[in-house]
Amino acid sequence: MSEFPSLHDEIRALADAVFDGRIDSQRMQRLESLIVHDMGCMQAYVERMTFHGELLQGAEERTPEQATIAVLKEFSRAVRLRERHNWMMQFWAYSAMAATVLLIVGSAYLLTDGFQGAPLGVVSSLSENVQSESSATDLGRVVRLKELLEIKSGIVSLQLPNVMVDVLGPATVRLENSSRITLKSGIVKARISEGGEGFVITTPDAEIVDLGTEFLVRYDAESGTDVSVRQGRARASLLNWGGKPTKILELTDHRSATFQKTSQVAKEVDFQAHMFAPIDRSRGGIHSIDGTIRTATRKYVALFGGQVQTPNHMLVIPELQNVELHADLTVNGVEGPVHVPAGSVISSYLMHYDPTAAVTVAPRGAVTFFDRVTAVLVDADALRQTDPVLGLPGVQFESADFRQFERDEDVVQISRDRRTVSFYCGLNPGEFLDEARILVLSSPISPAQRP
Amino acid sequence: MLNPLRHLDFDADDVTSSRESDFLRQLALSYHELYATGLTIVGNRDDADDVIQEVCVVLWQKYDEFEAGTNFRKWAYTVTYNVAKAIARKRRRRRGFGLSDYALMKVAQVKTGGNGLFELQCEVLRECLEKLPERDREFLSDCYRNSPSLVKYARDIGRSVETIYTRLKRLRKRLTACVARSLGREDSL
Repeated sequence: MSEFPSLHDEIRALADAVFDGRIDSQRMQRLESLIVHDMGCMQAYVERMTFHGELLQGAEERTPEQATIAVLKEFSRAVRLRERHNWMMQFWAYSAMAATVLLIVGSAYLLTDGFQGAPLGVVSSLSENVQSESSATDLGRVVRLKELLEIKSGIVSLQLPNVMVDVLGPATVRLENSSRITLKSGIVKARISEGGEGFVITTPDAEIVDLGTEFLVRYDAESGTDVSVRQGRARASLLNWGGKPTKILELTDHRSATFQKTSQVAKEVDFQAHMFAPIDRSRGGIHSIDGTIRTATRKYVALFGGQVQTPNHMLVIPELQNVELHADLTVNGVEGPVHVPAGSVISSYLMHYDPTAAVTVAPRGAVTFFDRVTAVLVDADALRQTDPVLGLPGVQFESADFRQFERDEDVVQISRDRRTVSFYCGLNPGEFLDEARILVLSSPISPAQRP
Repeated sequence: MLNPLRHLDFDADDVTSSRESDFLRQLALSYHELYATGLTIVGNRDDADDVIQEVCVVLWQKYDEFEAGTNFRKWAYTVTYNVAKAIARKRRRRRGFGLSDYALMKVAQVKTGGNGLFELQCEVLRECLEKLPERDREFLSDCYRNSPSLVKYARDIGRSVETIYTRLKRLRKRLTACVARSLGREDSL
């Protein structure tokens, strides 16, 4: 007796075996016999292959246009290579030598790290409370092709070619290539520099293509995908299961839209400015950080000595951003007296280091900004003078002099291009708190155009 | 051999002439159907990928012969059938077994004749997919994306191939039943 309840079940099983590459000669003969002699079986076989074709194309990540272009490019390249055949022959000896070297390097590679995807970028900034399933929490670590980043909490920033990506945990992101990421859950913000246009974020509901912009995407399985463009322009497409676009919305400055694949909804909603807040609060205009510095993620109300302790790192807290000064500001900076005229637009960042008594290793690190640093204030007087002007409203600051950097043991340096500030803090028992305020002159150009 | 695409890099932005963009547009519109036809004839993804690559190239090389205003889809379909048949024959010779030319011809006939019905079945299949839990959809998607090398995929995710096939079989069965129910028939796909 046959193991299949019906002929159609048998045909489906045989077709599956063909598709999966698990058919043998005997079963192929059986398939041939069934489909050639029974039209119903033939129909069932074609239906089953259509079924596989649909699932296969649904899983395909490229659009037909992209697939076609890829095929033709490949062909074009192959023909060009053939045309260069003779020329190539002259380099045969070199190729053989290169292959040998590759073999040696490859073997060494296998013995050390094993195969890894191509490098795409680096982890350029971390917030203070980052927790991750992967090893994404190492500042400066190279991130690679097809890597899956699972961030449980905090903000991890990735510098990809011409694109800064902030991942706000809890979130899971896969790096498909240098210009495409898949957001599986959580929030991602992308800030595009010149040359990075065309960067794509995909979620199960939508595909968002940057057209020169700063935008944020949030996805969760229940509520779908929200897209908010703060500056510039992005094209967001609602996808069906097969990943094909069914509806396209083009979003410009301060516009948001929501997408849901199951109900096939794609509609514009009020701009969701609040979605940017956690990342702005942590990153502001910081391009990257280095060493034992972390960006802040919480709202602090009191920064007295002993209140916000930072045992293993220095905190950089973005304060008021893009504030226009209504009066001249003259203060003592680390390089001497500083005069900032009224009308200047300033963004402020507070460096805060308050270790516990058990700490024996002083932190060192650097913060790099998109814009130029005007001054770094380290004296208690200068800090007190600027607390009410540039500090976050409602925050209570330490009033004692010990909050200042000790010039004899703390080192602060501004780089020659004035975009990076480096810190080395000493350990002065009893007076652990060290604070500095960095004033950054806001650029008149948009963040999306910044380098 | 002269490179017919020597003046192209085929990045979307570079496709400037109307002839090139017409070709891409028409091919993109028929791409899925051509791929599905190729797959039905050759039976597996590896060979279907080869078919569609060859088809794209042949269509582009012969595009000068294509008369504007006539049926691109029909022309492309004929090319696809011939390319797929040639590849299926080649594989049959190499493996020592495979469907006969007569069976392949019948398969192609049924595929062309029943396109409307298959389209409806695919639409229902997509709805059925939506009803699956997300983890099952992701699993299916991963399996089909990795279909030429499921053994490697199984190794990558630390499962045995048989475990993968068992789950795949269960999901295919579930989808088949769902499609059949939706179409109001006992047996479908």
